[in-house]
Amino acid sequence: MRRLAYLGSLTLVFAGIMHILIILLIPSYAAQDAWTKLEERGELWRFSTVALPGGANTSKLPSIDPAFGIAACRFDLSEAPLIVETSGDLPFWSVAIFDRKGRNIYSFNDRTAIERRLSLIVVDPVQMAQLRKNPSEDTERAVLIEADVKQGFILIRALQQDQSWAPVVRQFLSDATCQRYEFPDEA
Amino acid sequence: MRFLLELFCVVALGLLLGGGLSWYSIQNRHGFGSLTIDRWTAWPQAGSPDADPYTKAKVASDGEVPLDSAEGVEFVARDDAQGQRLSRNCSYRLMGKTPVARLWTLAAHGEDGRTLFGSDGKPSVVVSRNMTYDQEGSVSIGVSPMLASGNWLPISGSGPFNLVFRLYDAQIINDRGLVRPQMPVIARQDCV
Repeated sequence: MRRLAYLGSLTLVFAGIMHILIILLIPSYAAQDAWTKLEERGELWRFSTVALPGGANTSKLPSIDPAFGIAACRFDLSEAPLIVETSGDLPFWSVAIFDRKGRNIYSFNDRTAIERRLSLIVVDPVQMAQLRKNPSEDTERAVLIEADVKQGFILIRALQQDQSWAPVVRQFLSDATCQRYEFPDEA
Repeated sequence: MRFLLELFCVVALGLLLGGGLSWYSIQNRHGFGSLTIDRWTAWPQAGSPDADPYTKAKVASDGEVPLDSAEGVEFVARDDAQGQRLSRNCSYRLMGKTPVARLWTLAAHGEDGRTLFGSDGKPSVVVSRNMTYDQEGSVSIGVSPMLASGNWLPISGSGPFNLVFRLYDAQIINDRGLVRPQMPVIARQDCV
């Protein structure tokens, strides 16, 4: 009987440890995380419109605001820094950068953007040091974000206030570019 | 021999129990890190690296892309003011003040987070700037399958649903700490 109680408590302790381990490991091994869902939608360094207002949410991303159009682009900073640009006169847009595991690294909205234009450069710490040595015009115009990640994705959300805004939102998202940033030649 | 059998039982049962508990614990969101106002609950930290392990696991396994602090906050209501589960067979009226934000949207989502539609095929969502407010700045929105007077959020079909209130560029959390905002009350009217 005592042996059974001992085995039972041993099982409980082991189950507890397994539970903690599994919960902590899920973000690293989730089979259907945001990155994987976006992977099905297109290559690295290219924006794809993953949801348009009016119900065209074919992205499998849950709980997306149906009043928003969303474009996403995956990047890999180990290849090059990322430069993202688009412009358009919308009542509201916001940008969020996520790491590979889908955690927010940085976000801002049109009000905090320079001249309400979307222009941003994402660099890792090494690339940041390089840019500091060699500042260029681009880096002065753009929001410069230092992120200590390799892979990640960027999401643009654009509000479609009513049906009449649909073409503007569509244009805003399809104009968005997601490119490798090339360092200016050292002078 | 007996030792091996016992070890096997402990490991097998432990795995089953631990795995089952983990599976169960990410079926629904938990109170960790949540902000509740009446029937509305938000997880302002859901997408941040500082979120608790359960919220992180839930976000990752669902593949969510939560709103970040500079974007907005998402409040979800599953029940009406009386505590009854929201049903698409019923009509509701949302009444009251809304928190300070540059804009907000109110949408109806299914249990799994997908967008719902009205019977006209348009998504169930309204945007704050198209709403009419009364003199005190309160808003009143009818949520129903049938056309409602004033502001109207159409729903259709049957079964449970969630109301999702998203505040963009909101002042829910400022540098002085949490600002307790007011959220509209969800009053049930009649059911089919």
